[in-house]
Amino acid sequence: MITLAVFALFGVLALAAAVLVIVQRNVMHSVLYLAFTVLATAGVFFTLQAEYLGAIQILVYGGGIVVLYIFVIIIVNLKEIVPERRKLIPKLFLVAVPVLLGAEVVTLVLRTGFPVAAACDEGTRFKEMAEMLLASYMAPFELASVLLLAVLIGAIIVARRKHIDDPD
Amino acid sequence: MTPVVADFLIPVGKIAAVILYPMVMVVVMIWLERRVVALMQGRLGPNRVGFQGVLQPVADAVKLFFKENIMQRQADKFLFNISPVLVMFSSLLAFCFIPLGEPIRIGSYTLTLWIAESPVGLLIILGLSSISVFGVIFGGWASNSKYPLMGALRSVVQVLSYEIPIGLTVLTVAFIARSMDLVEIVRRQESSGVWYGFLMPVSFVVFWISAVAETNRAPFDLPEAESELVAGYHTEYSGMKFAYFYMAEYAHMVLVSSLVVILFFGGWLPPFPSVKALSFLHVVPGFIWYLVKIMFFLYLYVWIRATFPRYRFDSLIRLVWKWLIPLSLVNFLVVALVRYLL
Repeated sequence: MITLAVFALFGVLALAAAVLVIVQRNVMHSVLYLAFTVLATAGVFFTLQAEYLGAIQILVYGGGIVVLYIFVIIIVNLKEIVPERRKLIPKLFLVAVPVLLGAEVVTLVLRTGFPVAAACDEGTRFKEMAEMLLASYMAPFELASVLLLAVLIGAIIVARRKHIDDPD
Repeated sequence: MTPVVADFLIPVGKIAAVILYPMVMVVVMIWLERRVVALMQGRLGPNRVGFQGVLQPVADAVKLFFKENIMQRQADKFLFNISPVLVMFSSLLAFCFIPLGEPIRIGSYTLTLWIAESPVGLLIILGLSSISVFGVIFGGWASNSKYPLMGALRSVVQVLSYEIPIGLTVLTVAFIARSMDLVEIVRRQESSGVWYGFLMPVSFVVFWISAVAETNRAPFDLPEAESELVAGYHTEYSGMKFAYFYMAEYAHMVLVSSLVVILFFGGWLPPFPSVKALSFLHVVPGFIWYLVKIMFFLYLYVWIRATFPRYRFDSLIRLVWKWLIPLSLVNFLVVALVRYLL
C-alpha cells in the first residue's frame, strides 16, 4: 500500500516535472526540471525494486547527461527564446506530430499485456544481466560502444577542423 | 516491542539521526579545522567562545541566521534559491546508505544502524555525489556574475574528471567483496580478516586523492580559490544560503571519509578483526571504532590543507587524466586478474 503510494507520488512528480521542462521559457529552468524528471524516474525504478536501474539512471542521466546539457547551455549562452512567427502548415505539424506520437504510445501500452515478473534476488539479476551483456548479446553491445566511440572521435574531428580552418 | 515503536518511532528516529549526525560532525569539523590549521600555522585560532572555542561554530551559525540575505537584481531568483537546497539534499541523502555500526539486538528486535541497505548502495552514493554538481553549477550560473560562473565551471570539470578514478577504484573493492552493498563489503572484510586498504593500497591512495579533489578541498580547492575567484561559486551568497553551501561541503567530507572507512578500513570493525589475541578490542562498540576512523580521515583533510599549496588548474587536470586514470585502470586490471586467478 505504502509502496503503491510512493510509486504514484514519484510517477506524478516525474510527469509534472516533464511537463514543466516543456513549458518553461528559461532553458536553465528546463534543465533543472529535466534533472527532477530523471530523479523522479529513478524513484519509480526504486519502488519497482529495480535498484540497479535506478542507480544507473541517477549516475548516467543525472550525473552525466544533464550536466552535459548544462555545459552546452552555458557555453552556447542562449538568452530567452524569442517565439518565432510560423506559418499554418508548420504549426499544424507542431500539433499533429506530438498527438500522433502520443496516440501511438497509448495504443502500444493498451495492446501490451504486462506480465508480472517473478520476484528474484537482486544478486541473481545482476548475474543474469552480466551474462546477457557479455555473453548472449556481446556483439550488439560491443557494436553500440564502437558506434559511441566513432561519434566521439567524429565530434572531435569536426571541432578541430573548424579550429584549423579559422584560427581566430 | 510494540509495532508502533518498531514501525513508526524507530524509522522516524533514524531519519532524525541521519540528519543530525552529519550536522554534528560538521560543527565538530569546522571547529577542528580552524583550531588545527591555526596551530599548524603558529596561530591560536578561535578560543574565546566556550571551552577552547568549541562553541565558535554555533556562534557563527547564529550570526549567519541573522545576516541579511542579499541577492543581486540580475540573479535568477528561482535557481539562486534552489541551488543551496540541491547541494544539501544530495549530501544528506547519501547518508541513508552509510552503515554506522553493527546491528544491535534489543530482545527480539534488531536495530540496524543504517536506513537503507541496497545491493547497489555504492552506485547510488556515487550517483548522489555527482548530483551535488547541479547545486554548484546552478548556483554559479544563477548568480549572474563572473567569479561564480568561473568557479562553477571549474568545479564541474574537476568533479566530473575525478569521478572516473573514484568509480574505477570503487569497482576494485566491489570485485574483491563480490558485492556493492556497503554492509556486505564490511562483512566480507570481517570474514576475510583483512581490511581492503591493506590488500589494495593503490586503490586506497587513488581513491583518497580523488575524493579530496571531488570535495573541492585544498590542495584542490580551485573552484573556491579565494586568491583568484573571491569565493568561487558561492561568492554572491550570504546568510543561511551561504551556510548551506558551507555545511554541505563539510557534510560531503564526512560522507567521503565514511566511504573510505567502509570500503578500505573495515567500517565498524576493530583492527585485526580475525586475530584471536586481539578479540578484547570487540568490547568497544563498533560505532566508536567507526567514529575514531572517520575522525582520523577528517583530520587528514585538515592536515593536507595546512600542508600543501594549491594546484594550478592545468596541473590539476593533468594529474587526473595523465596519472590517476591510467593508474587506476592498471590497478583495476591487476585486481581483476588476481581475482580471476585465485
